Amino acid sequence: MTRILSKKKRRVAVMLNYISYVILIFFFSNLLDNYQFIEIAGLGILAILLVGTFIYLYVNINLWNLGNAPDNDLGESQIKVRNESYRYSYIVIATLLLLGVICMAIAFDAGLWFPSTYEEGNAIVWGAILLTMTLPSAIIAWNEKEI
Amino acid sequence: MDLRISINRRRIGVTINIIALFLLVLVFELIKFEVGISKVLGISLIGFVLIVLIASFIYVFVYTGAWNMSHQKTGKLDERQIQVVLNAIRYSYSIFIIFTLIIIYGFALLEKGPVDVVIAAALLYMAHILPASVLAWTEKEL
Repeated sequence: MTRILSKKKRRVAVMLNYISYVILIFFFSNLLDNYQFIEIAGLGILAILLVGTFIYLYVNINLWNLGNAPDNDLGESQIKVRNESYRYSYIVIATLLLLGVICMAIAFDAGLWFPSTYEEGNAIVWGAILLTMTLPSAIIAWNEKEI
Repeated sequence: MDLRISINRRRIGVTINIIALFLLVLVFELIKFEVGISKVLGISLIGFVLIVLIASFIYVFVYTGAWNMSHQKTGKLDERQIQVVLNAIRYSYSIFIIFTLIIIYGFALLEKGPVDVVIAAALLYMAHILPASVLAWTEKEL
């Protein structure tokens, strides 16, 4: 059964999805040295939020299909919407990548935080995978009045 | 200036352009890590590869109008051109993210410090030429 979500709900879910990942990574890299109960609980809540918003946004709803389906499975107007979302995604990803590289170079020279361990590198890579896989659908969720 | 260049020639041009870009980065990295190449030879190679890169860029992207088309505001393109460009961007997105993820992951695994300025510039250049490359590669008439 396909669900229909209002634009407002979709926008909130998109924000929560990305923000929960960023905070989750922040927790991992900074706060989990002693593995206190409260920290593990916080981590669990964030993980549930991340997975929950992902399921809420992309499972049993047309969004994921709209962002990733081949042309044959979509109508002409859907292809238009999908391709437009890829254009925005491309601009966002290329800009983020450039900013990321500049920030890394500055951080490296200025002795600021920089993903230097395997775990930190992994966190960045998984974040990039999450972002790049979901961004076209997230942009559709953010922009479209009706899905 | 929009020249009619056959699709085969465009494809060859795109291939040469991308190979030149890879070679440019490779030679820079070899010089940087002082692996198996002298500075004089490296700089000569960079000069040669740069000329090939610029020449193939002008031939494939400027003369054909692919660069203009892929960077034009959608308001200035007709309906068919908009669809062609957006479709090219969709393919470029897939190629670009796979490529950048490999690079980011590679650097994270090797722990070689930040992605250096040459790779950053190459990625930026690639982000700009990819849609034009897909156009030059796939469109029968440009």
